[in-house]
Amino acid sequence: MLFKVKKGSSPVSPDTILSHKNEFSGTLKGDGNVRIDSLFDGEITIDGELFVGQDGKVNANIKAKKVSVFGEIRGNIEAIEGLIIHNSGKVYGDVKVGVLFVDEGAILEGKSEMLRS
Amino acid sequence: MPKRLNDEITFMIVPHSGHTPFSFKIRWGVLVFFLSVLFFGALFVIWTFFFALSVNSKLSDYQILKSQNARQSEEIRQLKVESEALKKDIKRLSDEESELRKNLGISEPSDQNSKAKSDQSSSIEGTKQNSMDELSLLFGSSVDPRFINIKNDLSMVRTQLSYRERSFNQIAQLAKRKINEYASFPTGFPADGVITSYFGYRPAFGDFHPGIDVAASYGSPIYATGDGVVVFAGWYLSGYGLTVIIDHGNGYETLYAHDSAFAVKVGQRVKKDQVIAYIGLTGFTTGPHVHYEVHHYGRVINPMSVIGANPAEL
Repeated sequence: MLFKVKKGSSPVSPDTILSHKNEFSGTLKGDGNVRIDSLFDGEITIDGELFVGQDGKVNANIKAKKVSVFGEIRGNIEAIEGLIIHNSGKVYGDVKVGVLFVDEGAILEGKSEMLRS
Repeated sequence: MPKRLNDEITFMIVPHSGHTPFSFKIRWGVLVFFLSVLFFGALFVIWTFFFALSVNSKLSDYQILKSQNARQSEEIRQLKVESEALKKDIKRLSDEESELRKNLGISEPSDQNSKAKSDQSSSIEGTKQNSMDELSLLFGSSVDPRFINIKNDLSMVRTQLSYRERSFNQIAQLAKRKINEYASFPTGFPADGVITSYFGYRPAFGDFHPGIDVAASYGSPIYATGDGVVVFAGWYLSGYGLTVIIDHGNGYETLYAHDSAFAVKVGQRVKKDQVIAYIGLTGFTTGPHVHYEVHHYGRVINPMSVIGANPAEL
């Protein structure tokens, strides 16, 4: 899995894309995979994977199976399977994760807690 | 599938690397067009590939055919050279044959032969036509004329060879007969000696000498100058002394006079160069010699005109 992460790609295709040309605010819920390339304010609770592109700026508390970050997240994250912060990614908030991967050059500011313990 | 080719659709490219996605729209018609271009382009590329393969194999076939053709041309040229040589040989043989005929006194091709000759020329025309038809059937109308020439040459050579063979057989038979016949002509020399007196008027003696005198030591042999039958062996006339006369046929008789002894009897068959008598001093002589006369149909002729002559020319 880490090997795949190192390659810098998400293994799944997004079902929903929030484009960088728009802004969103509110609650996002669902089963699918979501990609956010925009500004987002609110709350995210999904069963699938959340992917934040390099243009994405998310101000929200997040619950997802897995989170991949190339952009910026401000808020607490609970990712059952794992959180991956890529080299351009920034996360400001507390995280609860099954697996945590922080790439070289990435930023994580907050408490972290492993779900497995 | 779209109802109208004018309908538009959007393609979105979403990089999984996190880079900004981008999208573009396109008409179905354009998409179909591009897909068609791609499809047919691919088809064309594939077709070109296989076409190139087949062209390549055809090219190699062509190269093989070309080298084969060159080799066959060379073979044809050699065949031509050989057939020319054969024709030359036959011409030479033919010349030698007519020379031989002339020497043997055998007439140039008899009726049968001239018939064969005309047959031959007509058969050459025939084979020319035949081979042309044959080859045309085999190869269509585009027959290499060199083949026809060589075929004609070869059939001509074959015809001429069989003609020559018949001709030579005839010559051989005739020659055998002629050799027997010629052996009877008195072309030999009667003794190993020196001619002391020639044929004709002799001023020193004031007489006509009807033969030649060949001087040799007493008792040396006298030879028959040709095949024949001994018709006389005895004391002949006044001055001749012991004399042998041989009848050779064809009107020729020879006479050997002044002998000391005989080696043959009357009625005996003798061969050319057979010893018939021995040189002596019988009759009127001034020394041991043989007086040699040649008679042709009862007339004396100059022996020198037949000694060593070609019987065919007598």
